[in-house]
Amino acid sequence: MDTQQEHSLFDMQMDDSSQQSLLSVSKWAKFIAVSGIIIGAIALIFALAYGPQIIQVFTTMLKIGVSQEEAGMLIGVLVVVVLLICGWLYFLLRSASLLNRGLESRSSALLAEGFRSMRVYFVISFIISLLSIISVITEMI
Amino acid sequence: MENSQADSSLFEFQYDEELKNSLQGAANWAGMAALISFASSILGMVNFFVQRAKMQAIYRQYTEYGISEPSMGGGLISAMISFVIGVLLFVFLLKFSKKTKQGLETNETYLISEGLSGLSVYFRIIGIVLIIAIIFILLGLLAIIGQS
Repeated sequence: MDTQQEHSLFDMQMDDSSQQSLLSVSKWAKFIAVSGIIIGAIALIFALAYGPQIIQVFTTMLKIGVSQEEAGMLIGVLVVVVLLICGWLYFLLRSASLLNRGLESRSSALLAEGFRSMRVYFVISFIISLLSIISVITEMI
Repeated sequence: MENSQADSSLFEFQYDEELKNSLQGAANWAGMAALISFASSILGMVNFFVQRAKMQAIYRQYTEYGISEPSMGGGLISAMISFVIGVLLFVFLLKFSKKTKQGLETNETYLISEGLSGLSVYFRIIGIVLIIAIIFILLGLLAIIGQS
């Protein structure tokens, strides 16, 4: 009985290789999230700088027969996609930061919180892929 | 001193219930995200050939007016590269999901370690692709600035 208890205590320890992998995950995830935020910020600056031209594109679309509902839907889809990407990058950055802090402070609670954030990141990835499939099917039909 | 340090490094990174549950949740969703993103990659490839066939049919109608069909080799190469990257991401994310779940079920840490190494490769691939994309964007911007 005692042996079994000792076994269950010792057989689930995080080895060095896992810690190295997690450190690498944390570094690359941080790089991806920070790069994504910078690229997003640059895109936002461009969108603000070329705001009048973008509005003109929508006006032209309305003139060539795109109804106001369709244009509104397009803007709605764009807003949803932007929000999803913001959430995606936020949870990736949060996960990277928590994993790194967890490894540095040797806290399994922080690591657990990091994996919870990563789960949300994967949920958003799932939704983005699903939207991409719907968009491709719509294009094919 | 040495003993207490050794003890501390042995016990500090136990897979406690909270960590196991959160890792299990991440692994479950990673598996689903991997499968749907793989389906999306396949569909993207199919869509490329469908759209190409449509374009070729349109250009065939206008050949008698002297309009030639543009080369679509570049599109095929970029579609193939996207597909290969999609497959690689699928393989390593699925490895993380499967091995981690197996490791948590059987209490085998080496399986969890293999799973986490798959996750590490998954993020490394995304990071490297991002670096290459940033380099291409910067080169494109430099070319535009150079022309104007």
